[in-house]
Amino acid sequence: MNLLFTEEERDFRAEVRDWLESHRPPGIRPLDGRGMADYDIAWQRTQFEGGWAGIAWPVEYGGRGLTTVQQLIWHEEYAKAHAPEIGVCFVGLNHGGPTLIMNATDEQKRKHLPAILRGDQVWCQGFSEPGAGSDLASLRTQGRVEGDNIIVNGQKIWTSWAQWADYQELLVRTEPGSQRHAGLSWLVCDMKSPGITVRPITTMAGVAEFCEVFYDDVAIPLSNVVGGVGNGWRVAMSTLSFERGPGFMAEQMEAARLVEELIETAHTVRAPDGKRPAIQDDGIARTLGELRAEVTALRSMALAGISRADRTGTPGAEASILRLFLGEVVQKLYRAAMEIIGDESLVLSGWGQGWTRPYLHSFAYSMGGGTSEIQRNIIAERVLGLPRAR
Amino acid sequence: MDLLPSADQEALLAGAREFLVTALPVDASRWRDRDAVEARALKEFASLGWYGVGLPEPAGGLGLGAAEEALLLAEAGKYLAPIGLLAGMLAARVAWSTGLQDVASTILTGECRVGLVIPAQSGNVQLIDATASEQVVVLDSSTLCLASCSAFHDREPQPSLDQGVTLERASQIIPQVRPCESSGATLYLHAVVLVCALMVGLSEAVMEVAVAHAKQRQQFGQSIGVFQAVKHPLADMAVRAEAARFQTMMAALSIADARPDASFQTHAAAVIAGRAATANAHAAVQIFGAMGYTQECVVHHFVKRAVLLNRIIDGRLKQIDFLIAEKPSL
Ligand SMILES: Cc1cc2nc3c(=O)[nH]c(=O)nc-3n(C[C@H](O)[C@H](O)[C@H](O)COP(=O)(O)OP(=O)(O)OC[C@H]3O[C@@H](n4cnc5c(N)ncnc54)[C@H](O)[C@@H]3O)c2cc1C
Repeated sequence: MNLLFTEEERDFRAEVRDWLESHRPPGIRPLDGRGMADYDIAWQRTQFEGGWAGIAWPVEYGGRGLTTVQQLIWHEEYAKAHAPEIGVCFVGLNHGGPTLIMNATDEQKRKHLPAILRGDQVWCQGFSEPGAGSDLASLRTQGRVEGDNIIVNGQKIWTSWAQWADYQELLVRTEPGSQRHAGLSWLVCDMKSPGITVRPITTMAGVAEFCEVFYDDVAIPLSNVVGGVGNGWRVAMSTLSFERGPGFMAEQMEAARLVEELIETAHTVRAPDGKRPAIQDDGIARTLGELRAEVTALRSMALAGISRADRTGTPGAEASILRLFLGEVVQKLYRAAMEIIGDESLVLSGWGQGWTRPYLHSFAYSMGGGTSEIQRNIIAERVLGLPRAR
Repeated sequence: MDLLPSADQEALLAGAREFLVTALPVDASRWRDRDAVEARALKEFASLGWYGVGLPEPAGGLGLGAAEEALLLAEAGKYLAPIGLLAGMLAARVAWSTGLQDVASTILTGECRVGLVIPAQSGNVQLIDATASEQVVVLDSSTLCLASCSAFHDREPQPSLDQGVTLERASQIIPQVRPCESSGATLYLHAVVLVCALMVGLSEAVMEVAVAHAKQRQQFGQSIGVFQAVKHPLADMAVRAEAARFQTMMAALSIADARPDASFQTHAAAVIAGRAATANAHAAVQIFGAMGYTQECVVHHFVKRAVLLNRIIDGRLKQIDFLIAEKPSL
């Protein structure tokens, strides 16, 4: 065990810091709409030009090929620099691209990987359906093989930023009558294909963050199947495994920053008695102290996760422990904030500003990417070895 | 940067496990004959060099650091190791850092047993496992001191919640206490991190006991571990134990490297590990059902030890207060 960074790692940190300092986009990221997507894409292009696109991707695919420790350093400096969230580029860079690298043909890789890195292709993830949420394997969207095409009919839902996406990782049932994990295929779906209708859904935070996507006889070339017809479940599992890993550091750092910001806020707003700063109220101070301990522990856990991944090559089921804990801490943070800020809690704040809108957004933390209950099932069954329900 | 044990550290731990599992079994045989079992173990800890793990070799130690101490005590915590182990490690460190080489060597060899003294309300102190000890470590949030047990003339036995220790109350007799030097605050952090390590082991062990029970106990024709109302609290235990372990190791490394954020990291560890110990022990009782409520079942020992360890570091609330008074570590 040690906390030491090598000389190269320290130099690397300085390089990252300098670059972010001079290239981080100015101003506040727009809340929603085309302006937001354009902002995210422009920032991706800047990173590409600076040689920072796809930090975790292997060099042979145009990535930066950073070690996990270097990725950690990048994310730490990224958070410190207040660089914007990855936004609409998330799916392509963090799991679509890596899934292609692992499973796609050379031609598929050539067509998509460089474009994702440049910010020329925005991707979305079409896995969840109205009838298939936590139970993804119950999905029913159908793909009928006809000549050189797969004809897709059905519906996806909760597809984040589908309205801005060029391509989609689409999981469909290609074998008629197949059950559960069998008979699925993972397709690259061009979002401009005829027969696709995208209908944005507004969240409780007032943002059209995800969409319903309808497929009406959408023809997708057979050559867009990744990993072979009928192997969709295996490919999808590799996609989900990429949702974890050092990228998590960014969220942890952000949570730590927010706790400090809330502590500062508690120095300026009044305590419930109206007589002194909120921080002098023991109850408030202790809630904040506890939060401080929790985000600090999150960082230590994330570092341990990196050490583990370095040894075994995968994040492992322990990644669910981090996910679950992060969701709980972030929700606790915003719930505490709503009590501390008093009358300000009635005013809806801007995106990424103030406490109230992020408070509404924080409900998503225990849902997206597997709900907290599903994370608990994973921890209990795969880390602790408890029996599964029949 | 690596938060997992190195190959050398793994080897150290493997040896420790082998010893602990036979020397300090957490079962009925232990409690039937606690005094003898623990007295023997406390002697053997000396021959294994545990009291001086973190002291330099010329001082009779093993020349390792706070990280190894924390790793070992996390193992020992799983076996509810006698408090004399913690007290002995701290006493050896205090003796060595105050130049009391003769005292240090009697502790390192196991000749001198050590108890613990913690401040209590209204100026009194509580003595833990001091009855069979010659020396005590006084653990105060500003410093650590060594004192002879005879410094406390009005010792009064009290019924101990934790049957694994003896408890006495006394009024504080300062004059005979040998205060240590400027490194007091550092010594206190060192003590806190070692207690955290014990709590890490406790929260992991009580989780393992509960997991084993949930797998084995059948109701409604299946293992109770199938039910999510059982499964999910166990998953929450795993989260708390993982948080406690790695925050404690982070704190131990920060202390070993004398980092500026050592005190921030240590108080954070105390808050997290303190909760993991208590909450995991509480949840385990429920998973055992009525059996968990008995003397016969091991779980109550973990509940009581969690209370004791939290108290030794002045209670979780105090640790939260320390943490919120720190400057941000970012
Ligand atoms: C902000 C956000 C973005 C998202 N983006 C995408 C995206 O881009 N692409 C995509 O495909 N999906 C996306 N999702 C969908 C997400 O993956 C699902 O919401 C999630 O898998 C849960 O499915 P569900 O919402 O249908 O809830 P359900 O599965 O219906 O669950 C409802 C409740 O029942 C509980 N529950 C269900 N099964 C169990 C069980 N076995 N044990 C215990 N409790 C259970 C759940 O925990 C939950 O509390 C997104 C979701 C959110 C919130």
